Amino acid sequence: LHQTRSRWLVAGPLALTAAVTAAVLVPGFASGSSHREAPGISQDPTADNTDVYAFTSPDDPSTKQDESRTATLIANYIPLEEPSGGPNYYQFSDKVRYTINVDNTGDGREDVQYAFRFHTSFATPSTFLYATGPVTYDAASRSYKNLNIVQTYDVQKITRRGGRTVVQTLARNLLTPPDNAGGKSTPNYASALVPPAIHTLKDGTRVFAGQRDDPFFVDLGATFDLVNLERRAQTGPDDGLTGYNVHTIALQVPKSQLTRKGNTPAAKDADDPSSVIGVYAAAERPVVDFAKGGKATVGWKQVSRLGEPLVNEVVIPIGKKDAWNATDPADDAQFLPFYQSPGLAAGLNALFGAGAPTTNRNDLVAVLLTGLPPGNPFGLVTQIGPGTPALADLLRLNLAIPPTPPDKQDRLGVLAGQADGFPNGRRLVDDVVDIELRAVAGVLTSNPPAASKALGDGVDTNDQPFLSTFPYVATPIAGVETAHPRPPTFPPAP
Amino acid sequence: MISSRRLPRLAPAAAAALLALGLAIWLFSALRGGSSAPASAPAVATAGTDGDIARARAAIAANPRDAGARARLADAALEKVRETGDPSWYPAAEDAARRGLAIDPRNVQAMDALGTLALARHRFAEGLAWGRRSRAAEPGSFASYGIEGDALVELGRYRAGFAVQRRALELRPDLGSYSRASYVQELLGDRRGAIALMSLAADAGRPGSESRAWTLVQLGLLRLGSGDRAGAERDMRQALAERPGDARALAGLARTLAAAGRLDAAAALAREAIDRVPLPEYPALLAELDTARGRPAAARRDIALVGAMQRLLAANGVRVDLDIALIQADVRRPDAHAIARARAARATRPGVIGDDVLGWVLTRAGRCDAGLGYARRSLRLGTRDALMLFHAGMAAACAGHPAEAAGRLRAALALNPHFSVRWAPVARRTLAGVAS
Repeated sequence: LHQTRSRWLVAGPLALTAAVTAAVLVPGFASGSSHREAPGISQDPTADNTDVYAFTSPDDPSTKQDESRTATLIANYIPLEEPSGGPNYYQFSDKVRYTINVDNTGDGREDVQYAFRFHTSFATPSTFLYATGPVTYDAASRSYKNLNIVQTYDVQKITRRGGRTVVQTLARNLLTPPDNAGGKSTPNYASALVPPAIHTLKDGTRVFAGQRDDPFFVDLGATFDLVNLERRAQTGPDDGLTGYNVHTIALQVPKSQLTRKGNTPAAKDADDPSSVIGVYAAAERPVVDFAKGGKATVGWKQVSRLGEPLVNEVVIPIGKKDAWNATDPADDAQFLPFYQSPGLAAGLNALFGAGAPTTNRNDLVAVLLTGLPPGNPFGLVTQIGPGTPALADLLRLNLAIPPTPPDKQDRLGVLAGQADGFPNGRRLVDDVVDIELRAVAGVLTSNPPAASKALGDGVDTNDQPFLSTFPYVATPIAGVETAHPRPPTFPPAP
Repeated sequence: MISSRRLPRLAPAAAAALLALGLAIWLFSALRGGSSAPASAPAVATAGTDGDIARARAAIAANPRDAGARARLADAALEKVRETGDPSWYPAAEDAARRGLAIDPRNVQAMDALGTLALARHRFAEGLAWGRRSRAAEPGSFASYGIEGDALVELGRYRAGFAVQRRALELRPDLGSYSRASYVQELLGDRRGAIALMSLAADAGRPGSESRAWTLVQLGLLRLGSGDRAGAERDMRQALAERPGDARALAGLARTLAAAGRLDAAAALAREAIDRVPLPEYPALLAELDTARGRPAAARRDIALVGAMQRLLAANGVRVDLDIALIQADVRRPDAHAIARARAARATRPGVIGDDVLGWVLTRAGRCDAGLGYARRSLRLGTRDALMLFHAGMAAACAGHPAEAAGRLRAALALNPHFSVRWAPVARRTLAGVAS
């Protein structure tokens, strides 16, 4: 999550050239001259995929009461955006390829992929200002007035079926909204500036890309330093993400475009694995090879990915994180031992006497890697079928389960008896930290330890209200409303 | 720069380093005539790294057997050097990493910290060993590729080094692997490719971070090296906008303004960089500027400060012999002792940079045939660097190869007519001589 702090520490050679260049004013070896203090931590926030959500759209019932026509897929990037982020503010990278991927056959490979590429331009290149006056939307020119830094994007849909790949450009030059700089720069943000950035495409898909309030809620300090879970019992919880924004890419897609059979699953199809899709999001950067001296992009390489929440933080050990982020879900079998014997279970036992089983965790493997097969004791199918599913980290969503109305949604999802909640997909309200802590402690085993039913970080809800309509994620905190002490309080690298 | 709360924890070696730093600060103030505050805490935000250090120490206090926390402390100490230039954090980093590794012999984060530290101290063979050990222990962690690749490149084992850097980029394109690939292209004489890759590196950095500012400065230096002063100034000012007071960006802007002939403004920026971070390249830059501004006494003080800072680095385990050799060769004619030191220094760093420095030392000592041999070797990768071409041209002129000399000097001046306030006029005079 918020710190795929892949900290590679670079190294560095040398100062020598430092002297070479220093002695002469104009440097020769630019890089060499400063290798000794070559860069340290290479955080890459614009390519850092922080969270993925997938749920049946709750505000979109079709003619039949128990059906909803569309699914909503949300991927968040750029963790811990300070609302008062000026003068540069935050934006997607023009050099990153962002993807939201759907597997509907169970092999862990994407059968439907949405790819997003952004383009930044400056209305007035001579100024550093983000906005040159109050930003308003001008319907006639389909553009924002007084906004200096404008970001637009293209959406491609890549469909793979039976060895054939079809690439469609769904849209070009779609507007993103400005960041919520604050009242004077971006007045009437939610009502006037966001709606023009919600686009309906020719195939019925709706799409939004831009800044939002970070919907994830967690006591970072307590959760990543388990010792503090106890301390928090006395001091009260602390949502480490309160007041931070992220950048969201949200899609609302007719279910028939996502399922293997091309159908819209109804409640009666809930036990059919064909009703299940697996979702993950990723970010890729270009690998450029100059071996021949020319300029050639030889391909895209995945630098971050996310399916099930917190897998990178609580399942994958630190030495494997780089490889995990670079790996496609279809190749996740190599990480199986970390699911079967999660280090966190032993930690919970040591600290709380949780009584969590520490080996042969087939319950976690089923929920997180293969999906729950038909006939399981929970009565909820999340295996993508038919056939034997691959071991793959995907957020699995059974599209046949009807949505719970937003005002009735329970943060504990399936643990509270709501089959449309995590770990069946993931809704914005779902408290994945508490659910996963309890799952690791054994609440989904046939004989759950008592302690597994009470674990939690104490942060139960997001600090900002979610929207009742697409894109659902809350309005970003305005720049003038908050100022955090800088920098944000990172927990120790998990 | 040194917080008092660190004192009780210091090992004797670190305490010695502290003393050395104190000495350097005193020298620094004395030499500069007390014209401003001594090296004070940098204005750039260091709270992030200080926080990392505090958390790692708290975790170690809670559990002294926490190898991961010790490795994180080592990382943070290394980051601290990057931010403050205070090399007394090196012994602290080494101590933390070695203790971590003693507790958990398979802890790759500790190995990577030790590899990074070895490279920072210019102990490349040692860095290579750590990089390989780390990779063997955990191939799924990619930091080891950068360490191994850097070590191979600095050791002059280019074919192997470039292959490792290319592999690192294929595994994970990020700020580190892009910037290393950029350096490979720079060495190969492909400045456009180097600029494209460094731009990708900058894009992959967090605005406001020390590492992103570093990539912007490198980008500016690459542009400056081919004479694009406007582009260089834009990059340097962007780095300063994102990270006000960043010493590398101040020095980079100083070099840019100097190339445009704005020597007084450049000198002011160089002094500001020195005030923030005690790296010898900054007073060396100021010495050049003071010389060009006709202030030889000030330049001598600057050079003395370079020496003090180098002694400080050496006291903290950093090899600085090659640096010293080059600066001294520029200042005065090298004697037999200086040549012997340069030879020994090159032996530890037998790549094109070692060849360039040793070649220049020999040329400046009047041993031009030998100097030319090393200068030619230094260009064997096709590197298009004005200063290296100038060194080779001067060696050729002195060794009686006027055609070669003219070619090299022309190339240096064509690449960047302002490559050095001091040496560019020499290049033009010599070229006129050999070409006639």
